[in-house]
Amino acid sequence: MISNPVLNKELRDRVRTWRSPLVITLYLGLIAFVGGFFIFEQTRGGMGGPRVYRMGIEIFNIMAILQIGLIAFLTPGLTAGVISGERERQTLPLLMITRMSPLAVAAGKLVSAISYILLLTVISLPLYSIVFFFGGVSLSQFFQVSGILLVTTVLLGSIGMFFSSLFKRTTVAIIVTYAATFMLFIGTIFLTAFIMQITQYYIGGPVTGPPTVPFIIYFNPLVALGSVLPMGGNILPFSSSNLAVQSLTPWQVNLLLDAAMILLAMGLAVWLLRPTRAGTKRRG
Amino acid sequence: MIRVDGLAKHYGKFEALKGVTFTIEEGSIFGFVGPNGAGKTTTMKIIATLMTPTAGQAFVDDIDVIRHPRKVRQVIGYMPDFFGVYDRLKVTEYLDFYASCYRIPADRRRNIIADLLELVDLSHKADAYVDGLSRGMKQRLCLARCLVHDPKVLILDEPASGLDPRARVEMRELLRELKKMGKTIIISSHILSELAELCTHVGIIEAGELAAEGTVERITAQLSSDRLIQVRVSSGQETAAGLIREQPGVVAVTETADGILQVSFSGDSRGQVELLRKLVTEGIPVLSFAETSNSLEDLFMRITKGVVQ
Repeated sequence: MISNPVLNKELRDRVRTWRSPLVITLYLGLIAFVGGFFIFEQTRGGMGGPRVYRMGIEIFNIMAILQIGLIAFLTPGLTAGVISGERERQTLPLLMITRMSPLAVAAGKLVSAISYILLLTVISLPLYSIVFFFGGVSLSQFFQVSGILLVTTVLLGSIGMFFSSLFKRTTVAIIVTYAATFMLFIGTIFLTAFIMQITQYYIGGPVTGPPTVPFIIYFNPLVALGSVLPMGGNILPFSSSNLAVQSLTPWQVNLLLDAAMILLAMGLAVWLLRPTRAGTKRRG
Repeated sequence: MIRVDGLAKHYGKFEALKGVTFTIEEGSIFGFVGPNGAGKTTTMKIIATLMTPTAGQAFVDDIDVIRHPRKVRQVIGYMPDFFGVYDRLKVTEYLDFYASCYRIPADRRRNIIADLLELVDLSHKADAYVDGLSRGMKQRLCLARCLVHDPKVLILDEPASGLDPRARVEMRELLRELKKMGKTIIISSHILSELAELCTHVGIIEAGELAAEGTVERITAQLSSDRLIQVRVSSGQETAAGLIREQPGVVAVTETADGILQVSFSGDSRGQVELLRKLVTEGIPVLSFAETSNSLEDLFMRITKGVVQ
């Protein structure tokens, strides 16, 4: 993949802007500030015993949620302009008549955006090490959380790539990608709550227990994250015992859904990138 | 080298191309001329595999552009009429990027880029950022980009548009150099004088139809067999036009301006004398009667106005 010229160019392009060091600084600053503030608040009354153990877990949870929030905020911005930007600059036809296939172009662009998020994650690792100082979090949990963050990045990146290929204007692509991300993270929660209210109200009947949480909630990356965070970090207002699928854990269902969405979004992006579409602007 | 057969392209009800057919021999420079919106860019985009035609076929080096676009891309270099550059890349990096997109091995790229920069006279700008280049330099860089994979055919859509006179001359010299290198070039322009002295062949397109096509000499000779006579009368323009039309050897008469008639005449010098005599004896107030030169520009004007059909 490193021999992908688009990837090489994108990586070089990205680090040549003033935005790159600024984003890195803000990213690290925010995580350090929130983490530091939390430690400061918790240790004001002295430390010791089981409280320290719990604190490590709590810091880990907070940092993981903060990180998925930052990914949701940054990834659409990093990907939604990559194809539409080429179209606006009138460089896309020149690229598409080379030997690069639409798949290679799309993959190069996506991997470059993901690499940037990975860079942010890797340079925030020293901050994570504070968690291990307190203890309470196993290495496997750390890898599970990292895996979910990575898959979420790829998903949001693929959605951004799709809209970037679909719309000619970057502004539209960015707005729609942020709207889709909002739907995924917040919209699914409201929709779930709404469906549950409706079913409870209309179906009625004798109440035998809390209603089943509808399947749509599995699309939410926070469900996956919540199911792997230590100490049952249920971060959504729904009980995990009433989820629609009981044979698989929430993160497994989410992973399958993400895989399907990534394949669909990237497949469509590649199809939209075909050279005959790159040069369809009529002239002369 | 390039064969276009019955090419048609429809955008809804609008017909951008209506069955364009022409052939370009290897090593020739084909000037594609026509007013804006005539269908030049559409034809070139189809040949460059960036657009699919509604009907018809196109072949480059005997490869079907619709069936085997990837193979065609290997043998063509395409320069669109409007193009952008990557601002944050240096000139060498820009060419290196495209060379790598054409899968040229890294060890060969260095020499190729140095040669190309020398060809387009940009060696002194090798380490400059592309964004800082002038319009003419960007056009030359784009031409160098077309050449990174040493294509046999160059498709250049208005390469001199927006350039100042000096840059135009430089571009023309560059194209001559490429001709010497044996490249087959298809070049479009809406300004014929730009192409007249450079091209070996010309295709004149108007409203999606090819009005004339062939070698510059053939088209000139073919149409020059009709003498072009300009007749100026002080009054009675319509009577004069009517009278001229009835005379033997007169192919067409166009009233170009107040009192001026352009006569396309297929007869010889004797016939020309007879024509003048007839006008005078019929009492037409002739101010001047002169044969005008059939420059390529004149032919273009006559063809695209529908005089020669």
